Amino acid sequence: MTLAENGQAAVAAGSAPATARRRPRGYQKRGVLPWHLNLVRFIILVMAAAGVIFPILVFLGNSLKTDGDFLANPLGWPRSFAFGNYVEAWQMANMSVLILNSLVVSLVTVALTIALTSMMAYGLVTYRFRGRNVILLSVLVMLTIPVQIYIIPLYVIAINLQIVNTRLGVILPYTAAAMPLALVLFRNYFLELPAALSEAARLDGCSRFGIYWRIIMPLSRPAIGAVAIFTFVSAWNEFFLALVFLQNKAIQTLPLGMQVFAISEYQTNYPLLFSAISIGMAPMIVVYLLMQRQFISGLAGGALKG
Amino acid sequence: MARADQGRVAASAAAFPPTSLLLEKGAPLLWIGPGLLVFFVFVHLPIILQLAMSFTAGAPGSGEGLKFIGLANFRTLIADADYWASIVNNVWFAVATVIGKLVLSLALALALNSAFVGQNIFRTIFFLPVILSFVAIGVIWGFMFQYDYGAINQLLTRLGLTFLVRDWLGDPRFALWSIVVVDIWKWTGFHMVIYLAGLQALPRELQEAASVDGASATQRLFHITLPLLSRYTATNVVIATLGAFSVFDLIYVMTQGGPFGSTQVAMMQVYLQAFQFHRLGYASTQATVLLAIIAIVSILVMRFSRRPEDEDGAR
Repeated sequence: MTLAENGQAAVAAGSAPATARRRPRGYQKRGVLPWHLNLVRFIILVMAAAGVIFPILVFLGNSLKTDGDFLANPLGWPRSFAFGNYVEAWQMANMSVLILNSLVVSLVTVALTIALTSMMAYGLVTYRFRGRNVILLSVLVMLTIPVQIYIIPLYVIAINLQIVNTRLGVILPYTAAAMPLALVLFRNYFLELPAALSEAARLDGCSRFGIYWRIIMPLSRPAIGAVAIFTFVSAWNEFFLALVFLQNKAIQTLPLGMQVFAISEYQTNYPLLFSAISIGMAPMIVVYLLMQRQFISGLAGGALKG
Repeated sequence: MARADQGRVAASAAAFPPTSLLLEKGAPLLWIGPGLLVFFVFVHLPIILQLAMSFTAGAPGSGEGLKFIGLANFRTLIADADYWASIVNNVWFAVATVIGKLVLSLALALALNSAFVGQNIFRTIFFLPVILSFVAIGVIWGFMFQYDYGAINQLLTRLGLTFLVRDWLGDPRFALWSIVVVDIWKWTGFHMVIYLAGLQALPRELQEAASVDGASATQRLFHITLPLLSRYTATNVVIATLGAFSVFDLIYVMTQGGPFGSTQVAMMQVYLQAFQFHRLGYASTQATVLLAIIAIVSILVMRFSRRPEDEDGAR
C-alpha cells in the first residue's frame, strides 16, 4: 500500500467505495443487516459518542459557571454564562506565554524533523554505500521505544550539553523521537516516486540538492503533511520531558503550565481551572475539527506504516 | 508497493558521473549526517548510556560522579517491594487497557464500517480524545471522578443509584481501574481507525462467498474477518502494550501514584527514584528492566505477525 492509499483507506470510511467495486456493493445491499439490528448498531454508536463527548461537554459547561453556581449545580447547564472566568484564567495562568512557548517549541520541532529526516531519507534512498542498511535499521529499531524510557541518560546528556532548562533541550529530543516514524514515511514515499522525474531533472543540469528541493520535496506534500501533523501533535501535548527539563517558568510549555495551574487552583476555584484548561485545549480542537481527515490519517496512518 | 520496483529514485544514482571520488564518497554523509547526529546523541547514546548506568551509583548533576558498583542495583531491585508492587499494578493496567481498547475499538470499527449518513461525524468524535493532552484529560476526568461535585457521582445520585457512589480516585480499590477507564477513553478512537483501515482492505469476495455458502454473520466475523485482521490486531496490541508500560502523564496528573501506592506504575517509580531521590543509577536499572519488557513484547508480537510485504519493504 502506498501512503496515499493508506491515508485513503483510513479515511475512506466516509467517502463512497472505489468505483471499481461495483459488484461487492451489490453484495453489501444483500448482506446488509436487518433494520432492527441496524437500529441497535446506531444506538450503540450514539451511546459511545455520548460517552466520549459527555465529559468534555460537562467540563466546558462548568467552565462557564460562577463558583457559587458550580457548587450548587455541578452537573447542569450554566444558569448564567460567566465568560469573565476565561479572561481571569487567561491572565492568572499566563496563557499567552504558555501558548507562545508551545507554538515555538512545536513548530521548530516540526521544521527540524522534516528537514533532517527528509534529507536522511533522500540520502538513504539515493546512494548505495556500505552501512546503509545498518544505519536505516538502527533508526527503525527505535520506532517502538518511548522517550520516557531513556529519560535519565537523556537528562545527563542534556546537562553536559548545557541545554537543560532551554527550549533546545526539549526540541532536540522531540525531534529525535519523531525521526523513526518520519523516516519510514519519507523513505516509503520517496521509493515510490518515479525515477524518470529525477533523471529528466538531472539531464537538464539540476544538482542533487536541486532535485531534492525542486522535485522531490514538492511532490512529497502528503508525506510532509503526515509527518508535520504527528510531530506537531506529540510535541504540543508532550508533558514528561517538559516536566523534567523546563523548570524556568518563562519557557514552560502549555501542558506543563496547565498542570502547574491545576495544582495551585484545584481546591479553590474549579470553574477558573476549567476555563484555563479549556483555553489550553481550544487551539488543538479547532485545528482538529478543521482538518480532521488529515489528522486522522496523519496520526493513525503512521502507525499502520510503522 | 506495486510501483516501487519501476520507480526507484535509487536507480538514478548510477547516472551521476563521479566528479571526484572524495565528493562522491562524502555525499551520503552530507545528506544523512545531520539527522543521524541528532538521532545518535538523543536516542542511541542515551540507550547505550542507560545500560551502562544501570551498573553505577551516584548523581552526575550534583558534582558527584558515577561509580561502578556491579550488580548491586539489580540486587536492590529484586528486594524492592515498592518496585514490584508498581510492576504488578502496571501489568494489571496493561492487561485491562489492552483488552478494553481492542474490544471496544473493534466493536466501533465494525459498527462504523459500512457507509451511512453521519459516519464521518462519529469517526471525528471517537478520535477527538486522541488529540487532547493527558494534562487536559487528567483534569477533565479528575473532575468526573471527584467525590462531592464529580459528574459521575452526581449522575448516580440523580438516577437514585446512591449505593454506587464511590470515592473513585481516593479509594485504593478503585483508583487504578478509574484511570484504566480514562486511558481506554483516550485511545479507543485511535485503535478504531486502524481497524477501520483493516476492514476497508478486506477482500469482500470472501465474505460474499461465505454468506452464499450460508455462514452466519457471527461465523463470518470469527472465521473470516478476525483472522484477516490479525495484522491490524497485532499493530494495535503492540501500540497499546507499549503505551501501557510507559504510562506516566495520566497517573502523575490524576493521582501521583496514590492513594497508598495503589496507582504506582513502573515509570512513576523511575521518575521518583531519579528526580525526587536523585538515585540516577538505580533509576536507570529500573528503566532498563522496563526497556527489556518493551523490547520483548514488541519483538514477540512483530514476529508473530510478520507479513510478507515487509521482506521487500525493508531491503
